[in-house]
Amino acid sequence: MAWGKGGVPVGEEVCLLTIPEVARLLRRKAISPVEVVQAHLERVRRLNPSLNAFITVTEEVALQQARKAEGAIARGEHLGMLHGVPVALKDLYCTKGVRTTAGSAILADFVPQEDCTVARRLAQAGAVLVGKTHTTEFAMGGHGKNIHFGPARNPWNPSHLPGGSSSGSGVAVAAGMAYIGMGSDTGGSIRIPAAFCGAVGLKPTYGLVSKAGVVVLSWSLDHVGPLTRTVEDAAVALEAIAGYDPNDPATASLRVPSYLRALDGKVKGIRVGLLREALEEAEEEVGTAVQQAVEVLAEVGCQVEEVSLPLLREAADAASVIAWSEAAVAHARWFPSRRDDYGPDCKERLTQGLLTPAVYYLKAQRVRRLLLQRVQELMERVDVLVGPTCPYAAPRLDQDTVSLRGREVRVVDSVSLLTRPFNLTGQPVVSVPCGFTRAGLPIGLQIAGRWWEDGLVLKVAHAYQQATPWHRRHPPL
Amino acid sequence: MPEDDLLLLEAVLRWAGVPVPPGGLREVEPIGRALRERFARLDTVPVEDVEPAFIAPLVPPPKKPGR
Repeated sequence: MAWGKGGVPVGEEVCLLTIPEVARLLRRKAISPVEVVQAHLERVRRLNPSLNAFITVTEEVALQQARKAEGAIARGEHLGMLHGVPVALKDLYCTKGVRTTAGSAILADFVPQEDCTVARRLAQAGAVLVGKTHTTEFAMGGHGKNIHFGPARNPWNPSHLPGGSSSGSGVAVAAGMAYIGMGSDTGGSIRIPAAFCGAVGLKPTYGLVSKAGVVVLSWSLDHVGPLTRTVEDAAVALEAIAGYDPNDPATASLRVPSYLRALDGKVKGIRVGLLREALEEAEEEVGTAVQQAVEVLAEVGCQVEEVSLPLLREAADAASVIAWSEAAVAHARWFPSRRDDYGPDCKERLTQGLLTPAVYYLKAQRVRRLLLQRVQELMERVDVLVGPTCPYAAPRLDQDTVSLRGREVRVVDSVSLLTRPFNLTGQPVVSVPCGFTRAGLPIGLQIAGRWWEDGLVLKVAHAYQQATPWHRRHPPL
Repeated sequence: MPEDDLLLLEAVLRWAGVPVPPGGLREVEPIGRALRERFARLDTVPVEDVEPAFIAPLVPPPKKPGR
């Protein structure tokens, strides 16, 4: 890294710092928010044409907010870690006066009149919006392609998928175009791009972060959360956005703790359950990386045991039935009359939802309850569950199918096989990078905890990051 | 599926407000097949004594804001 006078990074180097690092520099006025934002905008200008991480770049808004932050910090009014820090929002998050497309033709010209709750909370914390990120159409699909806006590209190898649906947020964060990329996760849409792009992706406990003003896919499965480069940064983001919101009836009234303070490295004795069935679903290279990650967790003091959750595959089916049924209802205002404005993936899924009998929706909800019971029993034995985030690393953009343990499977169905069950349970889950394939593509490790114990999940993930080098590697851009 | 049955089903679906694609139900046959397989897998899970989960907060509604 190039450092200027007084140990201050110069140019785009500042874009690869962690939030606590840049916050320290901003606080002591060693660097100004305008300089930080300009460095990011410069990087966006350089990289976005090839990576397609942003649908809309909000340059004017960003510079205006940065100047405001600069003035406030100069007056000694420092708002905290996010003050003057560039962030990006998935283009599913409503932003006042800024186009919000949901990656669709249906909402191509939609300009909201209000900010969503998370955008408002980030702004209140002083964060600066650099843009709205690429998403698969209406957040349907874990691949990161989009028929209307073209595919986002994996920063580690642009001919590979970035993962989705929060594709642009994963790319933007991994490529140093924002410190935080907010995403949404209905079946893995935060964790999959995190795994494919080598980033950290946090799906908080259902009800911890408000979904108000984020375009709905499935009411009972949608979660919103951050993608970042480090667990520390994810903790900072969560602290800013968590908490009760009267506009989201699913949010809970709980005191928001300091998630950053939870990252104390004290993981001795924490019981880790390695999910046998999840490991069996993954391809060999991914399985090996996950097993090595578990060995690292044991080395830092965790007690590791193998555990079994036989319902995993059926749970993924139940999650699909619920997701597409709810999505069909959420899209009832457009789909019947504007079917041809949707891309093929959306059409297929919404049609599935419309053709699903109510009895199977309820059957899926029964499987959901059964899964909850099994997971609750497991969580009495262990403190966290771990396994691969995805069964494989990022496939090529032109691949519709992958060979998985001798079977040819569709990417669109299989990519979220291991993430979907945790949307049914609503547990907090974080995906952290745990290695690379021989082809140089990142692999993700999924860590799931008990409900409302997001701090513990982050603590374990942080301890793992402190013991491994993966998060310090950046794509060669 | 025989053509007459398909046409009857299309009529029922249209009556129920389901948007039948312009190409008719033949166009959604692969979707139907995938759905049937998914439902069949769900049918293997013993849930007779299990109450469905419902869309609801995981904790009781708050009396006052928690922030």
